[in-house]
Amino acid sequence: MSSKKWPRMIRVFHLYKSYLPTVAVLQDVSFTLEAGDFVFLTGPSGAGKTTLLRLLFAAERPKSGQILINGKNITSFSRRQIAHVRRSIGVVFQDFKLINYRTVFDNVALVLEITGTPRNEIKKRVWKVLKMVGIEQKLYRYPLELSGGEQQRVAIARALVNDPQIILADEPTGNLDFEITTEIMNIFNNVNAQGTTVMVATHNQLLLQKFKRKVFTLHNGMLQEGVPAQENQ
Amino acid sequence: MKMTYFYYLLRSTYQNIRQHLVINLISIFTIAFSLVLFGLYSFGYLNLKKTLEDWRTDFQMIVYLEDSISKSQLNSLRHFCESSPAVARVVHVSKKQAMQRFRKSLGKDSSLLRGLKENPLPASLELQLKNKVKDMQAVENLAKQIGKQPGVEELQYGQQWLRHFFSLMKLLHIAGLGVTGFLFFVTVFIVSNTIKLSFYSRRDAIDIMELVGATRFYIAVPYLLEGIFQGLVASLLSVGAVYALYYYLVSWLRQSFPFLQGMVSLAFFTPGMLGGFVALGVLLGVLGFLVSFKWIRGS
Ligand SMILES: Nc1ncnc2c1ncn2[C@@H]1O[C@H](COP(=O)(O)OP(=O)(O)O)[C@@H](O)[C@H]1O
Ligand SMILES: [Mg+2]
Repeated sequence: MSSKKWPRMIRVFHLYKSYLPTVAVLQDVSFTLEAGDFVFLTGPSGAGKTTLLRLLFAAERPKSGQILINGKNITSFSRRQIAHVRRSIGVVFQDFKLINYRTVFDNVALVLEITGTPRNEIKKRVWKVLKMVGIEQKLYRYPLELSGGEQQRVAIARALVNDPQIILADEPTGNLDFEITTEIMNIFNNVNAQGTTVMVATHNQLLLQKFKRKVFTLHNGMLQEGVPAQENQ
Repeated sequence: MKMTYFYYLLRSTYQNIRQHLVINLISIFTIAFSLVLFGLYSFGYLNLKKTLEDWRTDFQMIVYLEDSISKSQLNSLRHFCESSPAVARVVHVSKKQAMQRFRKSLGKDSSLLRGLKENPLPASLELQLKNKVKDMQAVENLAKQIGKQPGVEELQYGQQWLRHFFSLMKLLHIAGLGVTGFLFFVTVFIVSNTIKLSFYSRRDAIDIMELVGATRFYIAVPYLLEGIFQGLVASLLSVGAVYALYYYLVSWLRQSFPFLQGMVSLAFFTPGMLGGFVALGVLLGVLGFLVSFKWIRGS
């Protein structure tokens, strides 16, 4: 797929979100990400990083504002349309969200099964992506037989297997040691180098320092580009 | 729809069923149980109806004649009866023949009749009614018309018996439908609850599938197929059970009542009825799915 064709991958206009009527989680958030962008979304715990990501793949509805994915306004999408737009977004969830009664292979294959991809092609692509994240030898294991880092890799493999145009990762290195963190960031870098738009939510400042990338910071529900001075130490 | 897509749906259904074997067995036995009861009811109804219809075949209407009836009146009455479409055969029994029969039926006690000065028995016409006389109304109309003819003293055609017979059939039918309806209601309720259970134990997986872009259709179809599967298996089981019961009933009748040999001809379901049985089982499974899904969507 040509990423050049869709220069503006994610556009967000004046987004407001609140769960409780009196507490605003996001206030007037606007930004644009182009195809091939890589951005860290940072801010203290509870700042609304997860909420913003969930809005981007329509797991939440905004109070007001617009979200354009690949030129399409998903805020007015039907359930069915949302299902289809999610197939072009790979999401790595903070809590992995693997299906425990399915094997590693079947967890990753699920994404291709729902689009009716032929079995042979699924086998090839799942194998390739599992190899890419370095977990191909655990193919027939179940998620609960794996370590946290291994489960994280499976989650990443599932996000990547469909060649999505966008990757959204929520604290993908949350509880992993630095070596694995580096490996995982390298995977995202490689995917990004092929033109995929990547957004990684993290509160880990070391990550921002090691991988010099564009940064969005959420503070008091508002988003600003770059890292505020007091957090940059 | 792509074949592979359908294959994944089938596989997902299979996994669901395997994962929830006990729940599925409960559903299947519930459906099978109510189908067996329904089958026994239909079977009993079918045979009772057949038996009663057999009885009706040799059902007679007896027209007692006045002693004063003239030859021409008798002839025209006989002609009238014969021309009725409901009548198969007309037999004339004279006073003398009636007496002979009566004497024969008394056997040893026929000596009692010796003291009689004159024959008190009336002559009669015995009408054999046709099998196709389906309802009470036709029989009563015929009786009314014959009663108006000159020379007719009295009619005897077991009105009471007939009336009971017809209302019994009606009652059986209504009661059977009522019980069946209630049974099916309970079945759908139980099946929908087992599907809900299997759905809820899959809640997390279903959420995940939605998050990675599965449509509601893709998620729902395996549960529909699960309902169809339950209905299909249950109906085959219940056909087998009803057939086994039928088989044992027949051989029990033959053994316990040897004199019935050759007379026992219980009717079993026609292939069409068996097909209907399977369709009914599947329908129950699908209804269970629809009820549970409506409920799940609402919540
Ligand atoms: N489902 C929810 N219901 C109510 N409040 C929520 C819900 N999800 C998140 N919140 C609140 O919204 C705020 C932002 O949460 P979140 O987006 O998870 O922040 P982060 O990911 O940056 O830690 C927090 O105050 C959190 O308590
Ligand atoms: Mg979070």
